[in-house]
Amino acid sequence: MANSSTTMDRRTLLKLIAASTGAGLINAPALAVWEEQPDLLPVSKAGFDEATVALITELCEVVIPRTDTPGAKDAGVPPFFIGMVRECYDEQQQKLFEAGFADIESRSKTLYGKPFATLTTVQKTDLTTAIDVEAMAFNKGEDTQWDGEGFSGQPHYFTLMKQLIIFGFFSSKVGGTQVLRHSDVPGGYYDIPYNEGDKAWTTVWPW
Amino acid sequence: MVNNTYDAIVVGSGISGGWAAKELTEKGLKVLMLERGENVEHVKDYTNTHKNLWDYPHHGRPSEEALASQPVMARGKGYPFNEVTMGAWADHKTSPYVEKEPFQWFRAYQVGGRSLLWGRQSYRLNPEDFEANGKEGVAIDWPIRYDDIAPWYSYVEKFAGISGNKDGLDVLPDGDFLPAFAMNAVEKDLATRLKKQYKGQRHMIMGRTAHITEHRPEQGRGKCQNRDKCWTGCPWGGYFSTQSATLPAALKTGNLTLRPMSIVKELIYDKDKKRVTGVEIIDAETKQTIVYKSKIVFLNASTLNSAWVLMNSARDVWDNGLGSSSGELGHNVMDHHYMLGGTADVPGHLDKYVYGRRPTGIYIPRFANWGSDKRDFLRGFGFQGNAERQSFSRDADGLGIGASLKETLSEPGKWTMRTVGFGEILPDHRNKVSLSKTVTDAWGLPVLEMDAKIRDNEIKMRKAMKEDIVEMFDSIGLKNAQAWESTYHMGKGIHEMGTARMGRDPKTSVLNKHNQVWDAPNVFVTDGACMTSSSCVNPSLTYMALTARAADFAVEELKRGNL
Repeated sequence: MANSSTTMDRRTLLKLIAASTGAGLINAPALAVWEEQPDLLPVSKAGFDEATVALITELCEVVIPRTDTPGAKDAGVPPFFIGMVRECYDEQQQKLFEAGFADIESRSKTLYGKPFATLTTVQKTDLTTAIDVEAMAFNKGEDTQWDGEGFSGQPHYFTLMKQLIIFGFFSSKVGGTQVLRHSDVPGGYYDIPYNEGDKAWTTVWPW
Repeated sequence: MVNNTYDAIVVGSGISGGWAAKELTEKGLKVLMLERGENVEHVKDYTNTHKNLWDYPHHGRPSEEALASQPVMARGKGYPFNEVTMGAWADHKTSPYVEKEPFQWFRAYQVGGRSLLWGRQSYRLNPEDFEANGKEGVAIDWPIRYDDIAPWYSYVEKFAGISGNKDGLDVLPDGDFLPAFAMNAVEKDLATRLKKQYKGQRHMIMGRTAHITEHRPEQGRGKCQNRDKCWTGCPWGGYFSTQSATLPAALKTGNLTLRPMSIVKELIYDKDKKRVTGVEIIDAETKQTIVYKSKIVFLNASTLNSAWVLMNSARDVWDNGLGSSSGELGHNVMDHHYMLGGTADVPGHLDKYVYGRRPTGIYIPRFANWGSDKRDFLRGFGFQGNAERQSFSRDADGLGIGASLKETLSEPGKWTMRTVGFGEILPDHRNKVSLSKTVTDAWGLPVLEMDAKIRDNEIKMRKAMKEDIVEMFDSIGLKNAQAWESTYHMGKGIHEMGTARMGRDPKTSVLNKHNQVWDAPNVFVTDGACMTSSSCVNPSLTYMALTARAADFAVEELKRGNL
C-alpha cells in the first residue's frame, strides 16, 4: 500500500533534526519570517448597516445552503465575506459590491415589498437565481437588467459575490473537513478510483 | 577576544551558499557563513507549516493593505505574494532597487534564502547547452563542457536527493535519482499519446524534483509527505533546502560559524597581492562595521547581489568594482521568460481521481531547435504542468445556486491539463545591472539599477511556445486548448542569471573556468551570476554542481599554496 509508510516516526525524526542544528551560531535574534497576519476585520467595524449585514448573511446561505451537510452560515461564511469585501477588494470592487447589495435590496422590495433578509427561502432563491442568470448573461456581453455602468472592466456584481461565497465556504474548516475531504498529511500520491458522489479534496493554496 | 579570522568566508546561505559551506567545512576549513537576514531554524521557525487555508485570516489571500505595502513585489499578484508566505520575501522599503526597465526581483533575505521558497525542479543542462554560444557566435563560449560538470551533478544529486526517472533523453541528461513521483493515470495516457503523435521527438516525463522519496534518517530527513506546503518550510525535511540538508552537514563538522544579520558591504582587496583579504560587513542590528578576514571568499549572495558585492568592492582600483576589468561585470543579465502556457480539457477518465498533493508535476523537455526541429529563433523552451480534476475554484457561471451548486462544487470537476512554459533568454551585453548613483538602501549602500528586457529572439520564441502548446494539445485529443499569457518582466522567472559570467579570456569574462574572479583568484562566484548562458531548464541544480566543483578546486589550490 502506498500510504502505509506515511508515519515514519515523526517524533524520532524531529528529535534528530533538532539535535543537528543550532550549534555554532552567533547573533541569532528571534524574529518571524513567515509573519503572523492581522486578524480579519470584524463585522462591527466593516461599516455595513444591520440590514446589509442581514442581507449578506442570507445571501450566503441561499448560495450555499445547509442540506444534509453544513451550509454557509454553519461555516462562518457571512462574517468572512464581510471582512474580505473590505480587505481583499479594491475601492472600485467594493463600490460594485455595495451597488449590488443595494440592487438586491431594492428588487426585493419591488417584487415582494420586503427586505431581502425577511423573504421566504423560496423567494430568496427565486430572486437570487434570477440575478445569477443575469450575471451570466452580463459576463457574456448579453443584455441584462443590471446597469453596470461606471464599473467598466468588472464582472457583474453577483459574480464577485458568488465567487467569494464559494471560496469562503470551501476554504473554511467546516467546508473543507465536513463537505470536502481533507488529508492533513497524505504521505503519498497515487491514483484512486472515482465513484459518483465521492467528494473532492481540499486545496492548500488560495487560487 | 573575538576571532575574526577564518579559512573561508561564504557570503549568502541559500542553495549555493549552503553547498559552499558544506563542502568547505567537510574538507576541514574553518568557515564563516554570512547571511544578511535573520536566522530561520529548521522546523522550529516554520510557523505556518501546519496551517490550512482556514487558519489564515484571509484564507491565504493577500489583503489590499498587504499588496499596497509591497507594490513593487505585488505587481501582477504573482504566486509568491500571498498570505501564506508573507514576510518571507525581502522588503522593498528597506531594500529598494531602481528599474530603468521593469524588473521583478524576488529576494529572500534570511538564513536559507530562496532554498526555502524555490520551485525545486532540478534538471541537468545538456552538452549542447555548454556549446551553443560558441557554435552560434552568441556572447562567449562556456569555458567548461558537460563532461566537466557531469560528475559534480551526480555528486550533488546524491546528497540533495533528486527524485526522477531515467528517461534516456539526450536533451535532458539522466542523473542519480531517487524514485520519481508518480504520474497520474491521465498524465500517463497523455504522455503515451504525445510520444506516438510526435514519433518519439517530444516527451512528457515526470518532473525531476529535489524531494526525497525515501526516508534518510542519516540526514535527519523524512521523505516527502505530499502535503504541498513546501513554501512554509518542511518539518520533515522532505525537500532540499539549506536547513534540511547542507546546513546540518556543515554544522556537524564543527567548522562552521553562521552569522545572520550581516550585510556585506564590500570585499577588502589588496592590490599588491591581487587577493581579497576579507569581508567588511554591517551588523544589521547594531549598525556596527566589522571586518572578517579569510584566505578565500565564496560569493553566493544570489546572482544580482553577488554582482553587487563585486561592484561595490575595490572601487579605488577599478571604477566599476572588482571583476569589472573585462567590462562585463553586471552585464548579460538573464532569466527564464515565462508567464505563458496552455490549458485544455481532457475528455473522459471520470472514473479516476488521485490521492495526495503531489508537490511537482510533469515536464515537457525542450524540442524546439533540437534534432530536425528548426525554428526562426535560437534555443528552446520547456513546459511544466499537470493534469488534475477541477477543484471548487472552477468557473461557477452556469452552475446555478443552492444545494445543487454546493453538491457540484463539493465533487471534483472534469480533468484539465495546464502547462507553463520556461524559455531560454540569450545573454546580451545590453541587459545589465549597475550601482545607482542616487538611491541608497536602509544601510546607506547604493542599490542596483536594473536595465534588462527580453528582445527579438525571446519574443519570437514566446509566439512559438503558445502556438506549439495548443497544437500539441489538439493533436493528442484534448479539447478547448488555449494558450494563456500575462505580463512577463525580466526577473519574474526568479531564475536570474549572468552578471559575472565564466569564460576563457579575462578580457571578456569576469570568472575563469573554476569560478575564480580573474582579478582576484581567491574569490569564487558560484551562484547564478556565473552563468554564461541560461539553457531553458531550472538552474539551481547547476549552481549546486558548480559550487561543489569550485570548492573542491579551491581547497586543492589552498593546499598547493596558490591562493
